[in-house]
Formats: sequence, structure tokens, C-alpha cells
Amino acid sequence: MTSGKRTPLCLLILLALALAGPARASLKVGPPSIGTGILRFHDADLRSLYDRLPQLVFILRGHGLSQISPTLAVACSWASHRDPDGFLAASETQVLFLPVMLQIPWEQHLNGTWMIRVGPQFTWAGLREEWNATVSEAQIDATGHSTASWLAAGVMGELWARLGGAGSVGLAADWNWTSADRATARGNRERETPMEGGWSGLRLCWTPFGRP
Amino acid sequence: MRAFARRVLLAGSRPALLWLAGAAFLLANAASLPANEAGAAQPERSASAWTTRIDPRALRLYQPSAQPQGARGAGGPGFDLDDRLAQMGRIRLMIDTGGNCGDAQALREEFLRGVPSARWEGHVGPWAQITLDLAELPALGGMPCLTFAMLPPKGISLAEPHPSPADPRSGAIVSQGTGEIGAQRYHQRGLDGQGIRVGVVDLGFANLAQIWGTEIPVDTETRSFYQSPAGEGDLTGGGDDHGTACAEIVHDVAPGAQLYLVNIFTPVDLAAAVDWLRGEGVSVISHSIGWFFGPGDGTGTVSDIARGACEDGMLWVNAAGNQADAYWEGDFQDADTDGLNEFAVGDESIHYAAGEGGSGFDFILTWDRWPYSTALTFAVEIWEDGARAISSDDLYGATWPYAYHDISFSRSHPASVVDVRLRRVRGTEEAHLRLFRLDGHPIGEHGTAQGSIVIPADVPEVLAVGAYRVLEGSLEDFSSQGPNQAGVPKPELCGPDRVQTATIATFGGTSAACPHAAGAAALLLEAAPPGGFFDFHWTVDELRRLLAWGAETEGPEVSDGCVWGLLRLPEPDSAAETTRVELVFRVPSPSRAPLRIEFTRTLPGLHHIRLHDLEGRSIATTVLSLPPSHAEEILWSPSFSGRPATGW
Repeated sequence: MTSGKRTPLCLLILLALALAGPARASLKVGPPSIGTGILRFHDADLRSLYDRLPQLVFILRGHGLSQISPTLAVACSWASHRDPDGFLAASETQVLFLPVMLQIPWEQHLNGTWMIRVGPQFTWAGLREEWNATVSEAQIDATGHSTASWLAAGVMGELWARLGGAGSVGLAADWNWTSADRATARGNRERETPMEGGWSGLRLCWTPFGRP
Repeated sequence: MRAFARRVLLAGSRPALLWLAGAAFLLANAASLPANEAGAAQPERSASAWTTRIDPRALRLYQPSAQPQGARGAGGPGFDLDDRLAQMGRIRLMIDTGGNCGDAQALREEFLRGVPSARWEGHVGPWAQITLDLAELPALGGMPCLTFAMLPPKGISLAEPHPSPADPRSGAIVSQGTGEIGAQRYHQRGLDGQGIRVGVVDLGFANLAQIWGTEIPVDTETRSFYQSPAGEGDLTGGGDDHGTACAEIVHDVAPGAQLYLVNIFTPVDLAAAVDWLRGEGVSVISHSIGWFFGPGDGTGTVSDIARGACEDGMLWVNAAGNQADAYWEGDFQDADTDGLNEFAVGDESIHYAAGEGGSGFDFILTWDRWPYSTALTFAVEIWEDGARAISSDDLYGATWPYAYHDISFSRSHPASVVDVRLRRVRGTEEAHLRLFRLDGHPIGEHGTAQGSIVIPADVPEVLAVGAYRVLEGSLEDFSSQGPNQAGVPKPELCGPDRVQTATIATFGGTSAACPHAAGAAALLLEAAPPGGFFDFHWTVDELRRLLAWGAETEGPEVSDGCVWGLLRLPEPDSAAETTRVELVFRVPSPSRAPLRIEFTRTLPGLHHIRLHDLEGRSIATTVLSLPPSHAEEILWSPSFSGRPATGW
């Protein structure tokens, strides 16, 4: 389990409480959006294994708070890396990355067609990584897996265009930062090494009906 | 009471008489029995009972009297007596709570209240280490949860002295073993141990400053637990540079690994050091130290510390010991019932003729009643010129509860005849005995190499490393062998010794071989396929399998002294870069004379030369350096013993 430092959970709770009062009074949930894109981690060692991960995202937005539209987005990314001809061992790693993002964007309509959203984003991300390595000459068939969760903070930006009867399409980008260490999943579990936490994403989103 | 006894006797009640006799017997003996051996028996609280639970050697400091004649020092080869503390009227002791009153740490407040001058230094299991004023030994001896208080056992470094080369090299000094084990091929692939943390646990790291930044990397972490479980001791261990040489070798093999150098002296120091290394994320521990206070079957306090490290994911690499030619073990035999062990029929001593065997004799004796053996005690007797000079029982006495004795003796004159005898001084049972000689001289007659593995190399999970001569490829005569006392084959590997370091010009012994294996493990850890979000290291078992895979198995001596073979980093077939040349020629058979084979082809670098007969049996193995213009001879003795080599 990655143990690293995390953005205090209380910050998220306070934010939710701060929004709860006025949100309950006038917040309406808009039509859902779906999106697809790519995700890239900031850590160079991570990128050497998982360079660009595909991402699917499901988005629910709230309306009615003036120009603030709190948004909940759930995404899924996955990747694998195979090295059948490694120096000592044939190996494979697989990762599943599930960020849940709370976005508090400020929304501005540019004209009747275009709209932008920018704002902070707070994320809880769960991840699971599996690893296996085989050295047949040494009778080694090693496997391992580990899970972790990250709390991250970042910024997001979206540019939406209405398509008339086809709903709206948008281009979204986010940048997230977390303080995390790379934990040892097999071996001395006290060992941790620093890791450049965080990731960036680029997505194409679509709201099939109504406003995004 | 008198009236009661008279009524019992008048009634002629035999059971009552037996009850009274039994009660009297129990009361007379309970004072000298450890609580967990006597069941519910508790030692008497009389004024003299406290002495029965204090190390007699500590008592001699409390009540100074003449040392037994001929004895050298009060500490013995296996124990520590801190002279500096003694000068201050204090002493360091290991208190054994026997596990009866809970973990030693739980008793800390009770002991500190009962012994106001005590300073609690640490604990491991039922043992705690304290210093206290000698004047408060009676208070300590009266503590209810004390089984025994003894001088702390100590470890012994496993280096063998060798003459320095005539032309010492300058500049960066790299052990010849580095290339020998295949580490340089890993370096060429960019694998140098980067990101791996290796702990070197030793007695002292003197002279580090001279090689800091050259032979030792600048990011090396150091901490001293030397007689200081708090980690604030003397890193030099009183001026010992053995650990420095070991660290150099780890750095030679795995130059990218981060080193953690810690020195210790007692088991409690060792436990504290290992705890710190665990918290620092160390993956490999190199320990070129042997311990002897234990049963030798992979159990006991020091062995448990090593096993615990392995269970926490740290590979513990230990020198096998230098006792193969300084060891005897066997069942106690006494056909003539005179109390003396018979090493052979009619031979009750290990005999050293005049001028033989050196001037000083250090022996450690253990037997298979670990840890407590008050009802059965054996002793080492030193006889000089036909007269009994000293017995270890003179030093330890009847109150010493452990299945361990040691003794140090100096010849009174160089030409004396010395006989070493083993006597059963208490009890009648049989036992299996182990005798180590630790003064650097071979044990001589009756010696046996099998079973000479030291603690904690005896632990099954620990990687034990014997030694072979790097330039000749032959097993060192002193390289300890297995199995351990539980029958587990040991040592797993043999590594190169007689290698060059900046600290010790020619570093020999299993002390030198061990860090080569530790460095190799660091390279293998780095070579593991990487994870992304997590570091997925090889486990201890997988590291052992990789090292077993890579080991070189050829050579008859190898199979006797090293279970897997000679230490070599595994080289997958596709990456092998060796050049093999085979020459076949005939000689008269059976040869009655040594055969000299001269190589006139000269090549730079190190070369493995192996001779096989036509049945494929290995008859000679050597590693030669054949620089240009240099020819070499290999001596083939017709008395070889071998077995068919595979793949021939």
C-alpha cells in the first residue's frame, strides 16, 4: 500500500459542508456526460512502464449556483507492460487506476455555442498494480499485487460547444498533484522511495442531450 | 514442628517420612535451579542466594580474588567485559528473565526500582542489557524475575590474516572477487545496485575517513550501536577496521547501492541495530561475524534476530565461520567411566606437543541441552606438562546454568606439553558436545570440519558463505562446513577471499567472502523486473534461488564445502560471453607422480582452468591470471577424489 503523504481528507469534508447549505437550496443535477481520453503520470519511472493510459470517464454536473457547477466525475484507466525478454526474468505488470474527481469549476458562456469551465479539482484515486516475473531456470514464478489510494489536488479546464440536437461536445484537460512514495510490495515493507506523484489528462467529452 | 514430627515417627508412617525427605531435598536444591527448569520452584531469598544467579566472573569483580592460575582475562573468548566500566566500578550484564515473568521490557520498571544505579540499555526477547554499580549486584541477584545475570555474549569477526602484497596497489582498489563472481558484467549492463540499501553489521568501522568518497560512497549512512542500543556508541568499536574492509567489498560489487554501516557488540546491540536497519528499508544485511552462545541448530537469541530479519524481507548474508580446522564435535564417550571424554578409543585428550599449537588457547564448549543445563555440566580442562592447570568449571562453577563453557589459557613456557580434555563434571546423562578453538590455531588431532558452521549462519533462511581462494579456486581449509545441528546443509555458497581492499591489503577469511554475496544480492535486487507504483522486490527465498541458479558447481572440494557451489551471479544463456577452449591429451594411467601442466598461451585477465579426466571427473580447478609473457603451471596430484561432471 502506498503510504505517502496525502491532502488532508478534512479539506474535502469542509468543502462539501461549505457547499451543502446553498447547494441543497438550488442545485440541480444536469444530464450526464461521458468522455474518453488519455492520462499520463508525471513520474518518469511510471511513464517508462505506462506511458499513456486510455481513460473512460462518467460525469455528473450540478447547476443552479450562479456560475459554479460542482461536478462529480468517475474515471477508469488501465495499462499493462510486458517484457518477455528481460535480462533475468520474463515479466508483466498491470495497473488499474480509478480516480473520483470533485470539480468546482467556474462556468462562463462565451456566446450561445461556446462555454468554458475552469476551476479546482480534488481527487480520490484508487489503484491496483499486479506484477509477475518468471525465471524458469531458477524455479521462480513470482507474483505480487498491491493497492493504494491517493488524494490529489489540481486544476481542470473544459471548452464546450453545443451541437444543436446532438447535445454538446467538450475538450477537457486536468492536472493533478499528490505527494506519494513508492512503497515496497515485496521485501522489506519499510522501504519507501520518493515518487513524483500526480498525473495529467486530456479527454473528449460528450453530453448527448441538454446543456453540459 | 517437633511434636508433629514425633507423632509421625511414632505412628511409623513411611509415606510421611518420604514426604519430609522430599521436601527437604527440594528446599536444598531450589536455590540453584532456574525457575523454568524447576517448574514452580523459586530461589531462596537468603542472604547468599543472590550469588547463585550472578555470573561468577562478575562476582570476582565484586569480591576480587585470585584468578584461576593460567587463565587469561575474565571475559573468555565468547563474552565481553568492558574494562572502562570496570574502572568506574560498574559492569554491563545481560539479565535473563527466562521468559517466566513476561518479556524483559515488561520488567524494566521493576528492575530499575530494585536496582537504582541500573541503566537499562535495551532488550531482546527474555534478555535485557543493563549497566549497574558493582556494589548493587546483591540487589540485582535478589530480583524475583531474574533467572541469571551474565556477562554479555559477544560476536567474533571472521577474518584470517594474510601477508600484504609486496607491491601494494594505489588508486581505486577493487576486490578481485568482483570480476570473479561476474559483477562487472552486471555493471556493464547498467546494474550496480542503484536504489538498493545494504546494511553491513560489524564490530568496528575504523579508518572510514581515509577512504570516504573513494572506496566508500559519500551517501553512506553510519550509526553505532556498539555497547549502546540507543545508537550512540563508538563507530570504530575501539579501533577495529574489519567492518570497513567488508563495506569496501560490498561497494566494489554493488557500487550503486546505498550502504548502512552499523557496529554492535552484544546481542541486544545487534537487535537494536537490525530494528534500525529494518526501519531504514534495508534489503540485504552483510554480517561477517560469528556467535557461539547458542545451540547451533538455527535457534537461540542471535539466530532468532537473523531469522526475524529474513521474515521481514531482508536477506541476511553471514560468514560461515573459520572453524573447519578448529572444531570437534561428538557424543560424549566415557567407556572407562572416569568422567573424561574419549576422542578415540583410549585417547582422552587433544594433545599439543612441545612447541606445537601456539602459546594461547581459547576454547568454547557447548552441548545439546540448550539453554539451561544445570543438572548436566561439561567442562574444558587444560593440562600442562601432565598436571591439571585450569578447568572452565573453575571459572563458571556450579551456579552457571547454561550449556556453554569457555576458557582462555596461556602456556607457562613455550616448550610445555598441553592436553585439552573434556570432563563431565555434573550429571550422568549423555550429550552431544561441540568444541571450538578460537585463537587462530587449528585444533589439531581429532578435529572434524563437519558441523563447524557458526551462529547465525546456522539459520536455514540465512545465506551462509564459506570461502575459497580467489586466485587458486580451492576451498580454504578453515572454511566452516555444515550441516547445522538440526541437519540443515550449510553453507550454501563459497565466495572469494584473499582479496585486496584499501583497508586490509589481503583480506582473507569467510569475513571477506560474505560481503561479495551481499553485493551480489543487491545487484540481483536491482535486476528484478520493475514495478510502477510499487517496488516488487525478489523475496528472500527467490534471491536464494537466483544465487543457487548462478552458483558454479564444478570441483570436488566445492561439493564438500559449499552446498550450491561457488558464488557466481547468474548469467542467462543468451547473455553468456564466455569463451570455452577444450584440450584433450593422454597421460600414462594410473599416474604415479604429480603431473605438471604448463600453459604457454598468454592472455590478459582471469581465466578458469579446469582439468577433467576422460570420464569427466574434475581433477583440478584454478583461476589464473595469464598476462602476456607469463606462463603458469597446474599441479595434478594423483590422489584426487572426484565425481563425474555433468554436461561433459
